[in-house]
Amino acid sequence: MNFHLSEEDRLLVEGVREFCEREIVPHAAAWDEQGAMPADLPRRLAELGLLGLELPEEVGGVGLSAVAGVAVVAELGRACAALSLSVSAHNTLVAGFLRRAGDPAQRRAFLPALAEGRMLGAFALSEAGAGTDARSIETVARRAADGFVLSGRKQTITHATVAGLYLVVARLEQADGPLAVFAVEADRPGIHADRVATLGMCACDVGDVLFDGVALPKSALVGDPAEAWEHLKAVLDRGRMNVAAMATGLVEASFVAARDYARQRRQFGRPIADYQAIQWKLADMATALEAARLLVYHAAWAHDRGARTREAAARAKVFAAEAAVRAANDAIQIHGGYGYTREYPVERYLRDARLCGLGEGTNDAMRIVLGRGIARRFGAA
Amino acid sequence: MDLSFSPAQTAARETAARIAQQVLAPAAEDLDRTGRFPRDALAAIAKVGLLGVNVPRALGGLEAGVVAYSLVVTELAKACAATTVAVCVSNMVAEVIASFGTEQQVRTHVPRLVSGAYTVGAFALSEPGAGSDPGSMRTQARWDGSGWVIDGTKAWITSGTDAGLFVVWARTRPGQGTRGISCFLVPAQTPGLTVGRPERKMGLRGSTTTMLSFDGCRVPQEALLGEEGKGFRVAMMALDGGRIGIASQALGIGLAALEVATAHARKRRQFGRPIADFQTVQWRLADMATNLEAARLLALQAASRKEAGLSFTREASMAKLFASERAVEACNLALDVLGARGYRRDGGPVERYFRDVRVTTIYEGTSEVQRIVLSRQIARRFGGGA
Repeated sequence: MNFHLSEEDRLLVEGVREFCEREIVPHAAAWDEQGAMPADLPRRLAELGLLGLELPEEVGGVGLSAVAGVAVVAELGRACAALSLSVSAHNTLVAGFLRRAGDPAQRRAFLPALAEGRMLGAFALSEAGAGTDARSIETVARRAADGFVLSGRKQTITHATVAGLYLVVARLEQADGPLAVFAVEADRPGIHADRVATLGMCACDVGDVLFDGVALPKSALVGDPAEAWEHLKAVLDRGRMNVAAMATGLVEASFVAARDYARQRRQFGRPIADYQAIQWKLADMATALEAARLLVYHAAWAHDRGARTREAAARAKVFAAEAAVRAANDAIQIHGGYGYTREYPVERYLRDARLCGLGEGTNDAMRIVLGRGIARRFGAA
Repeated sequence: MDLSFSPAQTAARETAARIAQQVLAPAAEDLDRTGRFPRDALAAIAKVGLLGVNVPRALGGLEAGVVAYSLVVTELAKACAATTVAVCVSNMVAEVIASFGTEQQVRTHVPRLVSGAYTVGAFALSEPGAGSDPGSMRTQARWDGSGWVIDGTKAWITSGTDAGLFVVWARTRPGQGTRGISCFLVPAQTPGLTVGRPERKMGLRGSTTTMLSFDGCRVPQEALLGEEGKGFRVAMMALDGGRIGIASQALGIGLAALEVATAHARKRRQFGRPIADFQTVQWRLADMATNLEAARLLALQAASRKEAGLSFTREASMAKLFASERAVEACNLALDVLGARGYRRDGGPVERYFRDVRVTTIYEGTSEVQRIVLSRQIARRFGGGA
């Protein structure tokens, strides 16, 4: 038993950290204000392999394990959570689903383009009436002579207005038809996307997408609808590990900011880091960070071994998401009034952290998964 | 990264689980009621090597490592936390002597600790006026030309009534803070050593906790463990390792509470359905399980670092702080799930778990002490500040 990253993974993570310190951290506050990241960023991310993290090398990916993947996402989360959200949705949900369920032609058509940053991926699952209860989706793909016609409105979709490719989850044929997933290029007629403003993760493009009778070829259907739900659940489990990882990145960012501030801020003649009221918060943050990290790594490690990760992912996500909010909140408290201003990053950390307990399954949805799992494990009545 | 267990680790855990089920669980309620010391259970535990989990085979131990030790402690604690704390302390006594002892000391004492000939070993560090601040201890040992003469009072001695060997800290150079402290091996029958009456405690009643009075207690030069004046280092090593044990113990109690609460929630029906169907109950179970899983990983990480010879002070403190606090919370939540039935002494073990687990945030360094340790580690790891 050992809890270390391999030397190769450690070096990779260090490289990502250096890149972030140089190219991301100095700009994260401005991107948050502007509500966007630079247009050339995907190309730069792709050069580092960040847009094909776990894709095989033959399609332009880096072929990372999930353990290394979550380590990278945590680093991005520490630097700019909005960026990690973007990278995570692109990699794990879109590329991950296509790799898992796509046929060879679809993989050839899309995976290299995704890995090279020629198109960003958007995973279009949520709707106004389908959130935690993902199966209540109403978007429908009706069969047409030479393919499908897709109609419906998707809500709060990451990369809504910047995506080159949408993976759209829809009912096949009719309102109570089976779920099916379609690969929809963004330049098809009938797609209307609107950016929405959010509490946090502001630099990440999030919006609503209307698919208004979008004509799709037969080849747009990804995988067998009979297996779609299983594929979706698997991809969402892996996605939850990433949200948990970005949350650990936020815990670390909050911890580091609070620690550094507490050392230089003097009150009553000494650094406030000398007071136990402050030390206790820092000690608890550091402990929560370690616990969250271990839960994330444990889930990813199980994923790499092909084990069932439903509960491990849910545990990691609910724990890390709540730890991130608490850490950011405590970091603001340690900063006092300054923490409430945009001169310091901690108020952004709190706004960003709040998403982690909502996206890809709310904290409550995680507890549904966990509560059921425990009851199953500890025997029948 | 490899989070799987070796065959030796799994075997140690299975041995502990078997003893826990066959020997500890049937006796736990009675021990709690009577406050009787679990001599029989400890003999059974010694027989299968679990008083020397991380002790070399040549000395009678299992040589299964620190991860195995953590797993063993958790399994035992699921059944009886009181017996487990005696096991934890005795394991640490054996480890400390194996690490710091002379060849003669190791050969004399470690096999007797591991075999159960000493019943168990005990640490005598705390005093009535020296708890979280052991550097303020007043017990003295002075050299009288032919031996060390110990005078003073030690407090909160786990297994005080039955331990065959005490590791005793005393000041050999007055007024030098933590630097003037030395460590001695004192067998239980040494003249001048008197064991006090067991304290009456909220929980962990099957573990006796006593004072020790040293009144002109003479021990030979060979009783000195480690260098004279450097005993505090021995204490710190024992405490760091001990924290992995207490984290693992707290985890075991918490897991037992989770299991009882879950079984009850599935069986107990209200409003026409099992209460496990209600989200308010599910949420409690989910939170218990999540926090205990994090505690498990923290304890195992600290254990695997110690086993690999890496620094582990920070990790052990985090594990102890987190596991104990979350285990206390888990037992409290389990009581919520069981309702009034859980509050009764005859209503199942959760009432006992609640009392037993409470000490885990207090002994082997309170939560406050862990946060002091962590604050220092935070300051040290990240340099001198702005």
